[in-house]
Amino acid sequence: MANKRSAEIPSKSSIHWLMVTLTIIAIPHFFYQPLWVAAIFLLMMGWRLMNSWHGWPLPADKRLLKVLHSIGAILTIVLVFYSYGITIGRDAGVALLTTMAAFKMVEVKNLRDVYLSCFMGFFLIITHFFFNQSIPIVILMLVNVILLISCLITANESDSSIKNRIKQSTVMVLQAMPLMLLLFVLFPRISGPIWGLPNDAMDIPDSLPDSMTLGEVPPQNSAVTGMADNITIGNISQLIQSDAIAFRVRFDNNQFPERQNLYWRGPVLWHTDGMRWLPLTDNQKRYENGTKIHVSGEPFSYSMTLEPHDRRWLFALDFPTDYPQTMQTRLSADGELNSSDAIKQRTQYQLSSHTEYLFNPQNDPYLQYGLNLPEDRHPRSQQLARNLLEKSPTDQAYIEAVLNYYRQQDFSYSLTPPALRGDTIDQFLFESRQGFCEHYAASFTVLMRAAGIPARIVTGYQGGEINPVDQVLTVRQRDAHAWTEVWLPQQGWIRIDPTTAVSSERVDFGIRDLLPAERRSPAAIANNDRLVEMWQSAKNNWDALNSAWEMWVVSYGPDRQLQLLEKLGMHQPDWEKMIRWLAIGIALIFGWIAWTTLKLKTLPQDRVQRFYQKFCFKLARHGVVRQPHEGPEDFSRRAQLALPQHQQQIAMISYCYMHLRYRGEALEDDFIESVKNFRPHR
Amino acid sequence: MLRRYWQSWRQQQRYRVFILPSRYGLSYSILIVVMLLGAINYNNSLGHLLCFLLVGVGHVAMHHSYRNVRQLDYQLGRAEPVFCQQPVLLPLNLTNQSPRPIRQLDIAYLPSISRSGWWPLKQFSRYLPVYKAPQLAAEQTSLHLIPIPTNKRGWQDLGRLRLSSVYPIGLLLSWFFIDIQQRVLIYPRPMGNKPLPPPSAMEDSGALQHQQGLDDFAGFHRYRVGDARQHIAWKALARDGILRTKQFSSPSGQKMMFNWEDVADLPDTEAKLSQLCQWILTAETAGMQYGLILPKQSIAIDSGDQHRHFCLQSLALYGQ
Repeated sequence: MANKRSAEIPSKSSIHWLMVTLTIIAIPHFFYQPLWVAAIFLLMMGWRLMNSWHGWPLPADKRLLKVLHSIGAILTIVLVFYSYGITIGRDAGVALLTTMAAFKMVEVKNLRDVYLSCFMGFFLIITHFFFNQSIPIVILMLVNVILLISCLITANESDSSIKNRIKQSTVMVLQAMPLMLLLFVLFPRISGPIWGLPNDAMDIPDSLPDSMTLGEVPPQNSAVTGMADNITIGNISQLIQSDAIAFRVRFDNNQFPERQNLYWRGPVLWHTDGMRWLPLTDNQKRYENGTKIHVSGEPFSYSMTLEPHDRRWLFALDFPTDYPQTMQTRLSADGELNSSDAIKQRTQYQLSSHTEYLFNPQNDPYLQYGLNLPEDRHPRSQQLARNLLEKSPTDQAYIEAVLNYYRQQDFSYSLTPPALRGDTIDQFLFESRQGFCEHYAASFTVLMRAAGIPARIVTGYQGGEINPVDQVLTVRQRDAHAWTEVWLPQQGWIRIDPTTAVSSERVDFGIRDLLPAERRSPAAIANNDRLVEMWQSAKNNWDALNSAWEMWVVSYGPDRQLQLLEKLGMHQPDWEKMIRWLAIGIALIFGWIAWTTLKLKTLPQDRVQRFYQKFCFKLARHGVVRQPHEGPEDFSRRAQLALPQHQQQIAMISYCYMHLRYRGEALEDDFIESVKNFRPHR
Repeated sequence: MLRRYWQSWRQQQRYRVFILPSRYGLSYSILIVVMLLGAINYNNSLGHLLCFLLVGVGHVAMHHSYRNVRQLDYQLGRAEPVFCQQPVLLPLNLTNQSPRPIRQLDIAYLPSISRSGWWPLKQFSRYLPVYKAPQLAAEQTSLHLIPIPTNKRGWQDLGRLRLSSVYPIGLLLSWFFIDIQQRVLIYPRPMGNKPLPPPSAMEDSGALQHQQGLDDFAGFHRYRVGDARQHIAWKALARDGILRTKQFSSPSGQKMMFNWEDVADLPDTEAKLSQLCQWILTAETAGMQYGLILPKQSIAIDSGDQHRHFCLQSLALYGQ
């Protein structure tokens, strides 16, 4: 039986419908796949279309075409390997799946092939999520699933109209939602990976660079820009171009630190050759007992949701005073919070920080590194340092003098500083004098070290935006920042942000106000304050929605699941309890769907018929059951005998019913009214 | 209270519906498992979501599939005798009680019920698909003639029908059984090209005029039970309300006696029976009168549907 069914030839309309569906599913992939993927896909679809419109032969019809078709498929596989290399990663897999689905489409000839194509379609849908997990893409998923289910409906019932099949599959998908949600919440999550991830398993749009170079913009390496171990000057100002989210912070009890204290600490840079700034090498780095922190004031507790950046460092509000409980981390002696593994997926951790602290006030293991300068570099800067030092009785006075130097000379803060050549520090301090935070941090550090004050550059983020809708602070790549720490006896490492000497707005109001207007709101409405305001509020709401979405849906994993279940009142959730509740939930949903699908049985669509059945039902409750062979007249007679006190009503209703049925007179409303009022009793 | 509902529900269930995933349903579940493993490996939460949606769709499909065959009521009619190798046309009244159409009903036939083996699906391959009802309209009853193949003369026990559907998306097969519990007479297959034997001359021809025949109209007589229906004078009935039967005389009415000896030269019993069957049919359509002599049975000369059936029945049951 099953074999006979699978040999059935699918109708043209079901093939067309399947082609439309697969194309809609494949389109999002065309945007980042090479052009030839789209070309091959559309070519194959065109071939099939020509077959059904103009009767062009298919591979199954002619031997030559069959050979060509197979060669085409093999060449495509070779092309995939050629473009992506021999290991099948994410992108290569998608390219392969997309093109093979298209090749299969040309040779669909029976029901089995239709099912195979639909199943490939389901696979294509899931691959969308490796690239994008936003709300729109989930809506697209629902549309795609509805379309594919309608393809399966059409494959079995080729004469159903488009409207019917869409309606039916929509009903099915909507009815499937409760079970989907239940499983989503309660299905015990396992943290992957099970067998390892390909290298391109995730997108890292932007992140902090791992080094810093003043001067020419260095060549970009792969997709990863970001907070890097060595600041290359130029890198952070490139990061400013990116609105990608670095992390989100929710402060407990909505207690936010002052904006001036929103320094999110990242990699610390020590070594310099005059151009590049690098962190301590792995050998130099120490972790155990390297730091002595003396805190005062109240701590701020907050949870961070860090976007993946494929590095090991974590960001923390300056200065973290405990460790995240949910992951393996350690604090290095120079104040970097590091995870034991690279952050390859969105990660959440809970921290608390003090904004008032003393960091290694007595001694520090790295003081010597904080004084190193390359020999014979920055002669003019060294000269300046000596001049200022002569006038300054104390270290503090010297620091103040340097900051005053920035204030009093014609330094300016610029997001697009001119390119520096030669001795970048000297050139910046004495010639261009336009710079970005990295220029100020680097030059200030050089001036400190030249005067014998240990100094280092700290990179990270500064500021962020608090969304008034959900009180979540969002820090984006454009908030990337670099500042300086100097070590003074008894005071330890003190944060000094030389950028504020030039542009206090950067810290007081955040980077956003320094951005050109068209980056803040669409150019079309930039001139109208009211529209800008509305746009901003819409954006806030959308951001809050996205933030909730990413926290509770996209990053819903084993930890989140336990957290949510505990919030929902489950005491110490474990997988056994989840399975138990899952079973209960499934039973309820099973019952609910059974009820909705079967209850319609007693409700005929014909109004008159429906009310006559109600009438019969009311009588049946009093023991007068209409027999299948009984016409309305006989039944009425019997019912009148059984319930003499209702004789008149029964006669009236039966009379109306028979008239409506057999003569079509317009008594319908009277009839329905009298059935409604019919309340038999013994 | 609950008990009463349960009992009334049980009464509605004339049959038990079975449901199992089809081949495609099994592939579908493998697909979901593979996709779920992928989603777990990539820690892809929305991948989980898609898998769970597909699980939900499968679950909903199960209910729809069940509902589709659940709300069917049926009544079997009596099957009429047929000649061997012609299909028995079993009348089956299908009533769709639900306000939705019932779709994609496949009817298959199992020649004999024998439960062998533990694997229920194994039995499926023995079912012959015999009939398709693409759509049964809502709240309607329709008559379907289910062709059931025959291959042996004599009484045939009609086995079992399986009414199944893969509606809505072909992932699940729901079915129920109807045990027909009838036997139907299968006449021998009319076959053979021997000429009719010479008419018997054992009766005198003087009575010929009174002989009732089928060719010429010869007046009425009052209806007697057993008269052929097509001979009832309906027009006369409309005039005065008296049921009459038209009388025909057949002056040329020949009398034939088909004897087992006449077909003695045919090789085997079935061929002999087939030839006799063929002769009876020829004689009946030609309006002749005929009788039959078999080794252990003889049937007197007569004509008419009853007589024909009687003769054919003796042939069908010959030797059984």
